[in-house]
Amino acid sequence: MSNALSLAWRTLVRRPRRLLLFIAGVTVAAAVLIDMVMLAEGLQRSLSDLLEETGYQVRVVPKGTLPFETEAAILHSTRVAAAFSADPRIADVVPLWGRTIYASSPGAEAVATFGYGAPAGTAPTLRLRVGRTLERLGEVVINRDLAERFRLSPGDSLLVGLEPDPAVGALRSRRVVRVSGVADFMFAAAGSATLALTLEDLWALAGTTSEPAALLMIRVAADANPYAVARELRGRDTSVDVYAIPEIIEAAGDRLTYFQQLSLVLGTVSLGVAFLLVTTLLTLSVNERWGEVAALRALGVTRGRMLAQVAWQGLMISAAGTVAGIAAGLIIARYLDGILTSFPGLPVNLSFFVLDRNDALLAIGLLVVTGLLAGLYPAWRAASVNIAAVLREEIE
Amino acid sequence: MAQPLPELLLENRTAVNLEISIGDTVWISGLDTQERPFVVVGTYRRPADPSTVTLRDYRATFHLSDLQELLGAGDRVDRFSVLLRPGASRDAVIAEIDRLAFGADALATEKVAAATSETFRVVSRFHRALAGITITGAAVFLLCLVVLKLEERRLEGASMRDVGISRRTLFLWMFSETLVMAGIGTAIGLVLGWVGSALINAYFRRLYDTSMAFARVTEELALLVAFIGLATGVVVGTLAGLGLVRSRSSRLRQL
Repeated sequence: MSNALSLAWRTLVRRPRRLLLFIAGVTVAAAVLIDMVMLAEGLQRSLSDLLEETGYQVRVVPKGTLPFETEAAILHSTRVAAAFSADPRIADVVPLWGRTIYASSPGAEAVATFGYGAPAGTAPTLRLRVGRTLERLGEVVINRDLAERFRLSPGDSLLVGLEPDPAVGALRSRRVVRVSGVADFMFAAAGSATLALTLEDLWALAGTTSEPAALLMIRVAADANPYAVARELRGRDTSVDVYAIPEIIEAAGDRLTYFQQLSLVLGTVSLGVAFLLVTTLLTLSVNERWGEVAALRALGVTRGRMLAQVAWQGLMISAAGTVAGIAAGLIIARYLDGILTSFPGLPVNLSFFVLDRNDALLAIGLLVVTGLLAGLYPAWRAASVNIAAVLREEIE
Repeated sequence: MAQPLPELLLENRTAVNLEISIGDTVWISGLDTQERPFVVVGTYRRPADPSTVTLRDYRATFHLSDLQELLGAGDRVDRFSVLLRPGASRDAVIAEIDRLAFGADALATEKVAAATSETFRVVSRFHRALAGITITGAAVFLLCLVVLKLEERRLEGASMRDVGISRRTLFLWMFSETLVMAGIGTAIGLVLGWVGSALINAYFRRLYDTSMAFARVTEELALLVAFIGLATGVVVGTLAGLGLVRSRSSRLRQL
């Protein structure tokens, strides 16, 4: 084995510039493959991580919708949440609602913000930066964009209301709230002004008495299975959809089909290119050394050793290209992620290119197998050389 | 005599999924309003709008007054579309509306289009970046093939030099061969691209139930691809040709 390996190495480095060029080719193919593997499931993984971070494993949404996809709402959510809370497998239920709210401070023009409503004392989708979360009515948590725009900090006042009324020249249903904290909103779009009020304040502001919620977030008890809880709740109330986190990711899958298809196509093409490159190089290398191969066979080198030597060459090229390709792929992924995460309305914390250990191993395995398969034809040619005929030709 | 029921139109997908037909009566409510009956007078296909094509929500179209009543929205609307009389200054009208209408922004059509097409600009940048990577890969692949060709021709080239074949002829030999290779590759690539775009359109049109085109090989795109393919061939062919003619024949034999 070590002789075959050593001979394979010496054969390859005989033409270093050519070798480098082919490794460069395999590197580009490997980089594209790694990127496509990262892209195929990247957004789902990133979204799943964000959803898991909230600590709530089940989501209840109006039938046929996904959270905050439409204005559809679960009505009388306090009652619905209380009914769910009675289940011993459920540790906590948090209703959330959202709608456009206008915010303004003295002397400044009102801006449209996305306003979340959550029960006082809960903050499942906030990462608090300064101050504290909502604890009582009349408080608001704002995001950093809004804090910078109006130069606000905890303790300051903010005017909130519904859309401006041209007839009276002021916000409809306006009221003054006190900033209790500044936070990053996990699902808020980059650069968008966002705030959170208590649900009661948001309902009162909107003038609704039906206690709407866009979704209910459920934390299951430590010993309960989120899938089983979701399945049972689904059967209990047919006017809602109930999802465990992996199920909601799957339900959102239709929107991400494009990235999966693109990854499949480009990943397959890159493997094909790597295969062609390695096969071409090894076939030529065997052709060039035709006489040498015949002489070695005549000296007693077995078919198996010839086969192993060429297979090692394929493996070495693909291994070198894979190592360089992973490094290049990570750099390219960062660049491409920078482009895709500039999608308008996308939550700041999402990423399209996520490297998962199993997927990385899959990509490396595919490249190594491709290298081995690519070496099969030239290896077979080298092993089945007609010794007498080739030696005669070489002498002539 | 009983009042006729208010009418609505349903989007095809909504009608099919909810098993509602034209002439049926449906009951609809707003957030804080009572359920009201509407009669379905027609169905329609969602416009081929890329910004909404992936959405799976159910849609219905009402008379404005019916919707306002259903939502308890009074006389509120989300936006007005304004058609100017011939000769009217658009900028002056926009400035006047901005001055008079508190809380409203008047926007020219291009501005609205630019704001709503930001998603597609991002997709376009992403595709351009991928194209750059693909072109780099293709160029390296072509270079590899040419280097192999060059090495295969080393003895032949040296012999031709020795019998007096000019450097120019040798250069053109290598150059034209590379160019032909790039040309054939580009042509096959264009055919594959055309077939690929047909498959992509068939798949996504079925998936999203739309008539929208998701991929198109336009004449300009085909020309651009042909140009890039042939330009790559010219650059790589020049390098290969120079590689063949610049080495001395004795050196070529040693390779």
